[in-house]
Amino acid sequence: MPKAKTLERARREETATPLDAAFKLVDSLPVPVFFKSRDGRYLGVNRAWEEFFGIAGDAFIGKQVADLYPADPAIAQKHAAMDRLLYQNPGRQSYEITVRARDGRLHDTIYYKATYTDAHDEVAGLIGAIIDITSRTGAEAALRENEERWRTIFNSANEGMFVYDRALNIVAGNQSAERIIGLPLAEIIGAAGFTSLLPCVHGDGTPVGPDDRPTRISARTGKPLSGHVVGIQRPGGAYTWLSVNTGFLRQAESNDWYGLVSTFTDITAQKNAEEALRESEERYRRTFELAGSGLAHVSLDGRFLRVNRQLCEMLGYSEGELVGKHVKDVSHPEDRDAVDRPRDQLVAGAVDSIRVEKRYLRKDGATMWASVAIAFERDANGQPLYAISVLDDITTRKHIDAALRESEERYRRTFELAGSGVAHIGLDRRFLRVNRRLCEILGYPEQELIGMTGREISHPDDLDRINAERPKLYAGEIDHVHVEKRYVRKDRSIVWVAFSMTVERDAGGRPLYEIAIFDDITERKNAEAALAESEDRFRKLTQLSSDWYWEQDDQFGLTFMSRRMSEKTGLDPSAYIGRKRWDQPALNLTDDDWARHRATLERHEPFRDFEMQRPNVGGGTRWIAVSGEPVFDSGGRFKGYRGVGSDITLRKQAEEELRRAHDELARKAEELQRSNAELEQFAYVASHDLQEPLRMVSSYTQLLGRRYGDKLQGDAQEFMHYVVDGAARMKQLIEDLLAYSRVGTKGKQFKPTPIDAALKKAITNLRAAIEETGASVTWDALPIESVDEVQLAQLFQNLIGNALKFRGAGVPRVHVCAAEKADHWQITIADNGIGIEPQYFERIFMLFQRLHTMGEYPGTGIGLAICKKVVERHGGTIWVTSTPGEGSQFHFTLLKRGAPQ
Amino acid sequence: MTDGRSPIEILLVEDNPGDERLTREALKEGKVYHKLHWAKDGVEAMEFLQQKGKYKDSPRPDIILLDLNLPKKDGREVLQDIKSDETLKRIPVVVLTTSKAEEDVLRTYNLHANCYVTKPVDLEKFIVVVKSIDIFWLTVVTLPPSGQ
Repeated sequence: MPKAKTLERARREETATPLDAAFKLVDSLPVPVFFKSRDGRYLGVNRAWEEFFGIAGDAFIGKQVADLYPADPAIAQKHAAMDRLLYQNPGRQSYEITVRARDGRLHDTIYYKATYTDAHDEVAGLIGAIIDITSRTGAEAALRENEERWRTIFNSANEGMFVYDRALNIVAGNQSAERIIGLPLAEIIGAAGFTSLLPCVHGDGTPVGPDDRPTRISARTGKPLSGHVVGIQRPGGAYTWLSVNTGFLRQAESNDWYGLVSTFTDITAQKNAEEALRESEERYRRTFELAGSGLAHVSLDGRFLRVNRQLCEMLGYSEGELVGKHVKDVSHPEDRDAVDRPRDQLVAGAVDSIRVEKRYLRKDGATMWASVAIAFERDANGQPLYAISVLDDITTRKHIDAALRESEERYRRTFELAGSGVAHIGLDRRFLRVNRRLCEILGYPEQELIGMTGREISHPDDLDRINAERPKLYAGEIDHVHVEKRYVRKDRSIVWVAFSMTVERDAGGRPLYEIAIFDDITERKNAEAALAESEDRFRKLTQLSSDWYWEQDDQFGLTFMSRRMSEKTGLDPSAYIGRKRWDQPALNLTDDDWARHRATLERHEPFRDFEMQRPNVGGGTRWIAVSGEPVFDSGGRFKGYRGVGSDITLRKQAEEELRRAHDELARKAEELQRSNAELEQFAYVASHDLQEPLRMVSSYTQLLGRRYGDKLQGDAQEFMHYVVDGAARMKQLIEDLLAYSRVGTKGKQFKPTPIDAALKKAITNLRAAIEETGASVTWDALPIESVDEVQLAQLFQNLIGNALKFRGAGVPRVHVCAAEKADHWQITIADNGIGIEPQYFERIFMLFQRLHTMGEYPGTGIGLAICKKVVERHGGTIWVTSTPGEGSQFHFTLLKRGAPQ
Repeated sequence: MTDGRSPIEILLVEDNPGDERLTREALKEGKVYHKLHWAKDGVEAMEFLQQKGKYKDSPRPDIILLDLNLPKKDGREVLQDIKSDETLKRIPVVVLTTSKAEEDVLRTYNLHANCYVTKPVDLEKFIVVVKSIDIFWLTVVTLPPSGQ
């Protein structure tokens, strides 16, 4: 409303002419218009001006521009200056100026001014219009702002940036680009990329050609690059590595691009770091893989994350099998939890690492002892990520340890339990350590012995036995000392000891201490003394015997022969001493005989009566018989032989004679046999052939008697009787002779026979005579013996027959009994007959001996001879005892031939 | 048992004429009708038995009395020959001999003599023995049928 007024006023001051229409127009223009006087006072403003500045026009009439811009004197001054300039050059004027508008904001404007003249054509004032070009300038300003923003970004960016035109030449670059590339921007700009300026390589080291510049790649592919690595080779050969991104510059609403932007960062350090890291990782991986120990990464829940080859080998699993497996699955059952407690400490952070010795189970079931070191890999906050385990196979060491422990234990036990006394003696000669046995031997308790020297308890006479040898031992000339000496026990008794000592040295060969072994040999010593005494006695004794005594060593060489040998044999013992028996000739022995004898000696067996026929020096031979026994020492070692020898020459001679006699006997026996056979044949033939004529004589004489008996006169009958009788007797004699001869030649083998069986047979044969005489024949129990039953029956028959024949007045009684003697039976046939006078006791057993005439008692007198022969054939004897008139007792012996009862 | 019509042919093999005479006399005292043939030694005996030479017409004996001790051919041999001859072995052989020797007895029986008789020295006994033979062998015993 003020604007209407103002213009109104203005209009009124002047005439209402076409100007009024112009004023009206001006007033309605959206463009602020103002009138200013020559002296710069506002004459009028339109509505738009009022709106623009927010000031009522009426209020402003007469004001100056300075009043318009209280806050911005510079603007006012500019306007004023422009006013003056215009008044100097009247006409038109336009200029841009930023003014502050009613909204307090600065607006970009273009002031259009023109002077106007009054009626007099004098410049009366100016008219101005304000064109608000804020939006344009805003746009421009915005654009500029934008541009400025981008420029700021462009220039302040850490990354290097290049702007490329469509021809891919660099049109702009920022300072970082300059810095990174290392060339002044002035040089870079206009170049076809920095790749044309410096030798560049791809990420893999291959040179970058013009066609594979990053920008060209993008241009070709139409796609922006991201993280494209390019390296710039520096003069020293080092690379500056860049990570390049490209982007297309497009006009708005257009797909076409008019330029490219590349941004790049220097990733050299990063790349180097990456490289270093990769190398480090590679090294680490190699180390991990090639470590001599088994390495593993184990998750917090105990599973293998990663294992190296060594660990796989140690456990016998492949990598694939181990990864993911729980550690406890490959642990020995007893050691599954061995790591838990220490691990807790590790987790808690109480310790940095733990070391445990535990057993694992290989895939093949074998046990492996390992020393495991475990540490945690932690994150930045110290929280455990995973465990790193280092395993070393200590199985061997464990075994060695165990073996060593065992060995030490064994040694200790051996030391303690040794049957011998064992001591460690220090270089100062004092006992360092003694075992129980030594205490027993020396008779001192352990605590007393320790610290004592051997000298203190040595027998005075044996003090230096060991010392003499010690220096050699220490010098290494000998490696042990062995002596037998006496010690004095605590109870003052003496003990003989076999003492053996070596020196224990350190690695350098220096003596550390002595190891001594004591064996109580008192008994042995006593036994040896006793033995020596005994042997001495024995030797003396052998001097007295008729045999001589000899000794041989273990090589069978003769070491000793008693004097007696030469006395008995006349051979010189010195010829034998030192030699072996077989070094001297023996005429009766072959090499085989000697070999057999030597074999016996080699076997250390005793031998008896080994006979040698030694030639005498002066001719002739002597027979020697030796017997020997092996000798062993107390340790059971063979020491040689000793024995006796005797001169058996005479015996040999006797043997020879005996043999000859034996042969003679055998010959004679043979002869006898032959003669017997001849005899038998003779007897047989004789009996037959003799009987023949006998029969003739007898028979025909009888026949004669029968036929012509009554014709014979006088004593012819008597004569014939004698003839016949003679013949009969002759026959009987012949038969008896035959029977006698056949006792020996027709005898049967002896068989175990009950004697009473033979007796019964005889009785049976004599039945007639027994009945006739009314005799009683009795007998006691008779044995069973090896006899010829037939002959024994004959024997009994003859004896009992005799008893009946030579009976006395009364009833004949015959009794048979047997008496047992040491090696024979004595059978007795006793009768109560007429008896026999003693001077005939022998005679009656002879052939054909008769004590009576034929008229008194019949018989040829051969019966008893046959009995004798039978008894003698049985190896016994027969004899008679008798009391004339009372009876006789015939006795014979039967050898006990071991007949079964 | 003979039929009494034909005589019993007896062969006596005996080297001693004295013994032959005695045997003859003893047999006479016996009751059996017989004919006594006499061979002096073993060879003759075989010739007779085999009806050789001068004996070719001789009869086969019904019984043989054989002495063991014979010249030329021993009685034991004769016995063996007889007993191994198909045509002769059935003829009873009574060995009549002086020997009492057991081995003779054994051997004789082994050679299949029908019996063994020891000649007694005593005449009477001798006669008894011969008579016994007579009675037993020629009366009691059935002789094998004589067939040529």
